[in-house]
Amino acid sequence: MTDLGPINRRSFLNRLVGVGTGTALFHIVPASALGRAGRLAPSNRITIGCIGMGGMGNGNMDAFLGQPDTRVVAVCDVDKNHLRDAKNKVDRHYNNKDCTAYADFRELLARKDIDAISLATPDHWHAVPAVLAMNHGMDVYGEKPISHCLAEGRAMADAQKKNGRIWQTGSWQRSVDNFRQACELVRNGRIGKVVRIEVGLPTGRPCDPVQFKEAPPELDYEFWVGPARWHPYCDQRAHWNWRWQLDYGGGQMMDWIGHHGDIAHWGMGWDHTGPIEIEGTGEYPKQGIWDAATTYYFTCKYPGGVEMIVANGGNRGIRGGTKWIGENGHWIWVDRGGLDANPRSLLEEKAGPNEVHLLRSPGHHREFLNAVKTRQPTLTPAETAHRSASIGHLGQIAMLTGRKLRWNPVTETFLDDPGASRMLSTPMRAPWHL
Amino acid sequence: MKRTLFPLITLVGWLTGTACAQEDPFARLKTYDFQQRQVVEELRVEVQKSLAEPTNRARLEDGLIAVLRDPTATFAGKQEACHLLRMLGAERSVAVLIGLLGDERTADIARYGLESSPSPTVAKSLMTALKTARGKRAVGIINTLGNRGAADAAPALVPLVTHPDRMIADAAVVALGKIGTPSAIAVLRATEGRPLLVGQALLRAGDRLAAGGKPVQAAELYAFQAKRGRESAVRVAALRRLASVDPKQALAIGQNALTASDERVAATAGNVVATVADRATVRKSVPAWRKLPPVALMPLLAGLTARREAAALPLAESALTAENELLRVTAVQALATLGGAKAVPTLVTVAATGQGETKQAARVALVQLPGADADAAILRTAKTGEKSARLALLGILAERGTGEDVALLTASVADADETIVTEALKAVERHRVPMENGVLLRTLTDTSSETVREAAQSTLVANARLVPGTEDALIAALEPAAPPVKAILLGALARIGGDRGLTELSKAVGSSDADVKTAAITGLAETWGDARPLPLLLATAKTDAGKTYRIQALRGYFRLLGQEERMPPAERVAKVKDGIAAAERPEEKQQALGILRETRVPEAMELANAALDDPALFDVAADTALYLAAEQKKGDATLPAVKGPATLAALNKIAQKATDDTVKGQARKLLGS
Repeated sequence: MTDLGPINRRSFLNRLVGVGTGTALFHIVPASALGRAGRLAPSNRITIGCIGMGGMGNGNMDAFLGQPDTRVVAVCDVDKNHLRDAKNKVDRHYNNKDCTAYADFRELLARKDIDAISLATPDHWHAVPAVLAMNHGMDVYGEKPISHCLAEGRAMADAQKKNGRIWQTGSWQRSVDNFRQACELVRNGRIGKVVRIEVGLPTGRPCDPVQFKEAPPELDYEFWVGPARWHPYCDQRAHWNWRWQLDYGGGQMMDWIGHHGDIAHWGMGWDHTGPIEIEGTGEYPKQGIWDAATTYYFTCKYPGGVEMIVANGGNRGIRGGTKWIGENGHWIWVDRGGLDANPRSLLEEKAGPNEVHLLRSPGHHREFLNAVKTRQPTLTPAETAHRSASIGHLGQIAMLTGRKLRWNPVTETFLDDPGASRMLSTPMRAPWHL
Repeated sequence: MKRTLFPLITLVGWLTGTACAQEDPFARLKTYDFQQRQVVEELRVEVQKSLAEPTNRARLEDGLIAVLRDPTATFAGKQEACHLLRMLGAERSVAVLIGLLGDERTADIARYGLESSPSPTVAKSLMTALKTARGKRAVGIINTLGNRGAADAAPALVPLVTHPDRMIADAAVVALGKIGTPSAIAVLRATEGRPLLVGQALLRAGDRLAAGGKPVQAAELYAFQAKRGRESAVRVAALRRLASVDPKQALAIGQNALTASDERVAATAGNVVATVADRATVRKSVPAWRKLPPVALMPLLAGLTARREAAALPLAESALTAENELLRVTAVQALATLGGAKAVPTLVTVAATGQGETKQAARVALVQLPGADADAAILRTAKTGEKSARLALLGILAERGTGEDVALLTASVADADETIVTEALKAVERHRVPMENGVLLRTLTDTSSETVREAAQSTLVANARLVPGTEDALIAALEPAAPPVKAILLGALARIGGDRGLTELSKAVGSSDADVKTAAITGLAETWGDARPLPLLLATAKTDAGKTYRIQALRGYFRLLGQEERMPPAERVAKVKDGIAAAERPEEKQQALGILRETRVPEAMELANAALDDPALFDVAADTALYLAAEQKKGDATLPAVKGPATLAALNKIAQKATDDTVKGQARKLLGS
């Protein structure tokens, strides 16, 4: 018998959060982990399979190849050229032919000797392999945004908790000092009570008319489309450009919300919550195959009255990056390579011993590997990434419906809006499912 | 679904899309071509409006249903119609959508509308359709039934668990797990083979029970899988879930699993036990847990630390000496969190004498250790501890930066031990601690140690960015200072780079004391960062009595000129010319020619051309002239070639006089000969 009292789905999950996800008082993560090269016990070596070998997939694989306690043993892609190049790179690195190449991720995930996967597929191909990998007992380094729709993000976050897996999202800005410094300043009240947050992201663009044609022979296009809606192939469809199509990505807004939106949440300590009201507008192309909003401006209201504006940079004066504004007019702004504040003297301040210290990361990939060994949460677990991505998903729905939406971040449901609710999930083509 | 007529689709689409721009949107949707999105956008907006104001809804629904019923409508149009019907949640569309399930080409898009439809007839219709469906069509229907949690569908799915088509059989297992009724669970429990798939389906059924207010039944299901699951991933997932609904049972199973040979199971057991073990169990178990392998001990210790379980402190102390570095780091974190101020002596020892990441972890722990007790313990050790401990704590005090920390650092700067003083100064500089200038100046002026003096100089320079009046304090200290001290103060002023410092340096250039004069010229020539001293340096290069000073000043003159990118090119060339005129040796003239390379104007070429007549400068001048005469790439920009009579003259000279054939060839090529 249990003495925990009545349990509903949410409290059940919240209790799961408590398992191994408590906040350590001391944020120290070593730059190197178990042992040194040459005396590494096999059980301390993390075997990795890489799924999705395009731009980010290659970058992540390089990072793992560079760690002393990892072994990349398998690669997977539906593009034979990407797959061949990835395998060759791994084999060259280890000076052997041992890396196995897979065209179907299910074969890779069926292996018993893989500890973790690196997942860098297009957004519509995140949830299915991620959940399957975690059901198979693997840890995941997954690209941002974590999900293609809000329900998939919830499914991934739940799968991580329920399976006791480690997840790191590619929201690597949390591992960079200027972002940490900015968030520590905000968290420690250096600009007073925050009243407004501005998140500036890149502007999108439409695409010219395209010529549909057969997919190139190296690309298994049917598999590439996978669970998403089917559209005919054209050169502007797949590699890289999937980002600008709502069936496969979410435009510049979703591509970046897992960076600057994620930092906005980190600064506020909002890793387990979300807005309560969302409204805004976006310009959706009326021609061509890229249908994601090119310009956008939406407002998220959080409990306590804090407003977060998400817009393409320059739209109504929103500056690229993340800016927190305090009630006294003081502000902190951060972007890649930039950190600014008003007053500037704030930049000389640091967190004292009795204040909030955010994790000093040894590097985003390294931090993931350490967490795999200690079984402690990473900087960006799936729940955190899901909440960051939710900003974008909710903004997208608000822009597409043209209505002010009211959201319950605890139950993750809209209030009195069945039309908007139906946009939280995306049905999958057979045979795919979560 | 095979689609081959892509060019035709595109052509027809564009033509019809344009021609039909004013027609009924549903007629246009029937010819939608995947890229003339105007009609899709219009209908999307209409659908959303109708959700807020339902008057238009029936018309929209009827129009979309008509698209689906039209055999001539494009696949693209039908796909969008299904999508829009899904948005509408239209009940009247169920029949036509069910009809589309029968065709492999439209089965998936039909489910877009059906899966989230609120209509109570959907599940029954899906089950009817399932009877005749095959392959992926059947899988899709099964998936939708599972996603809808259709309890009534369980009997229809049960026989499919053993279907010869593996895809269908697996889909049925997953769907039964999602449905999670007692009969579904019973079937799954009796299913042999596919242990991972079936195990996960059972766990999912357990989740449904737990969320539905049946924790006891859920716990029974989880415990069964945690103990007897044939796949480690299932055992792990079951144990995690069990901790949420039955902590006592999870503790018992978890304790046993801590020593499991399967590392995933052992690690999860560590994680779970840390969460559910009560204090008495922790106290009693510590001796046994000390012997656990790192794979279980790390999550166990980290988990106990996260929940601030003080009874785990002995476990942390013993893990401090572990061979595994990451475990030692975990132990340091545990020690600091659970021990607080009492852990300070041990943490200081590790910070002073430890190695690698363990040492660094102890440092960070001491920096972040909160509370007045911790403050006092750290200060006490920093005052009275062994020298190694005091040294280790200097940087930590600087990072903590409380008032008392800074006071102790200030005292350390005046310590009798030179090593302590140097490290204290470095810590203050590294961690940007604002410090009283008087203390730093006293250290600088009173010490006989060159090392301390240099450290004090660096710290004063850093202090200038933090403490207003630092430059003034340095200047005030100049007058009474002995020449060696004055020299180092001038060096600091040169590094700070303020207006008043420049005045003092300029005065010192005329000093009769060699140390002071050398410091001033060195400061301006080798340290100063902008063009303000150019006139003084040129004058010194021309008129100073000492040749060494003249050369040093001129080299500094050219250094500053070379880094001054904002100066107009003509002015820059004129200044280079002045400098060349003052130069006594070829080395400085060569330095000047190097600056001309980045000044792409005809006047620069004239200087280079003139220098070609001096054999000592020929090679460098030729290199400069060839660089100027050719177009250059710099980043994304293209720098144009410098043209004109001087260029022609220079290239001809190089073509005639160069001894290096490559250089000669480059000149001829640029001449076009």
